[in-house]
Amino acid sequence: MEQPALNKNIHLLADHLFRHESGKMVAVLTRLFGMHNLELAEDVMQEAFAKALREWTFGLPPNPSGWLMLTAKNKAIDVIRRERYSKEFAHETGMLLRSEYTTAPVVEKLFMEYEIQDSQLRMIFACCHPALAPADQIALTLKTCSGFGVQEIAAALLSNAETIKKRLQRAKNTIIEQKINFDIPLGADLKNRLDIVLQTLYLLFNEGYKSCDKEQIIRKDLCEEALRLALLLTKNNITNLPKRTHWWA
Amino acid sequence: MSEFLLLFRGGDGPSAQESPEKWQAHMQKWMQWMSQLQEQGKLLGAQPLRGGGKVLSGTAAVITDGPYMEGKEMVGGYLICRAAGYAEAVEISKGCPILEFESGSVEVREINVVSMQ
Repeated sequence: MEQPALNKNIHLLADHLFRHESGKMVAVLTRLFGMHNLELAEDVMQEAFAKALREWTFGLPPNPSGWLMLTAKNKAIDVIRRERYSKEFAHETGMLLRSEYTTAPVVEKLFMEYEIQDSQLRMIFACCHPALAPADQIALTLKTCSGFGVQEIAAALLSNAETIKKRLQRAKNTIIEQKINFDIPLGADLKNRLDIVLQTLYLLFNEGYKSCDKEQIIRKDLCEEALRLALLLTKNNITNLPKRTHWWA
Repeated sequence: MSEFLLLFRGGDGPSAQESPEKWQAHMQKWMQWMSQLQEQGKLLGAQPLRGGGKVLSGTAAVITDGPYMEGKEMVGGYLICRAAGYAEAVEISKGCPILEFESGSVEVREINVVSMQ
């Protein structure tokens, strides 16, 4: 009875990778497709995981996270070729994804390690956009940056799945209506936007550190996510600003 | 602002099989050139073309394989861009990576405006 054990291991591994890789994948895919196509990016990421669950039962690839990124990359190119005339993709890439001269090189470039980090930062800023209500920002950040499922977000924020679903849907509608972009803000704008990002990350950390959940006093996973995302900010020259005078700095 | 069609001929660059590194470096140059046009809002479209093809000619639309001609005469791709006039279109064309090759050429043509009156 080796097969069921292997299957179980694959599901455990996929769960682990989902937490660690899905945020990266969605960030890169959204950079290509545009923030208004966030759902398309999530679909492509999930297709890559579905393919992993199907194919890994025949043997694990030597580098599972690399395999996932490569699969997402190939699927992204397929989607771009299929939809390049019917969909508007990211403003940044514009006509470049309509041309075969540039499609593969652009996709290749955005899947490089350095650019992946940049895309993740953009995603944090987009999820913590001031046009979104603070509670929606946290839910959206946990979903898109941290790979939390609706149930997990509901449990983390002591809410129910229905409410979280509504929050996420409202956030996605706002993103499209307000044309929220996928940039790291520059100049004077950066300071204000960064404050909001830090506040959201602080709330996220606080929710883990001083959990409202009576069963679990400290929610380690929430603290870890807040720390991981905050560390990402310090790895970029633009967002790695000196200590602030705020009490959370 | 007018629109211009640039036709690329010749320039048998490094193929992907021959030397993947050289080919990648060459494609990077296409990306840099076109990204610049994209940022300036001047890029309207571009595609590379496969060799071979079909030609239909005359009122009977006789179909032949082809166009078979010397590599340097074959259209290998096109780009459509916005430019103020021929001077700017030519200036844009100077950055085209096909001109890295002795046999490469860019034909610059202004897109006509057709009215029905």
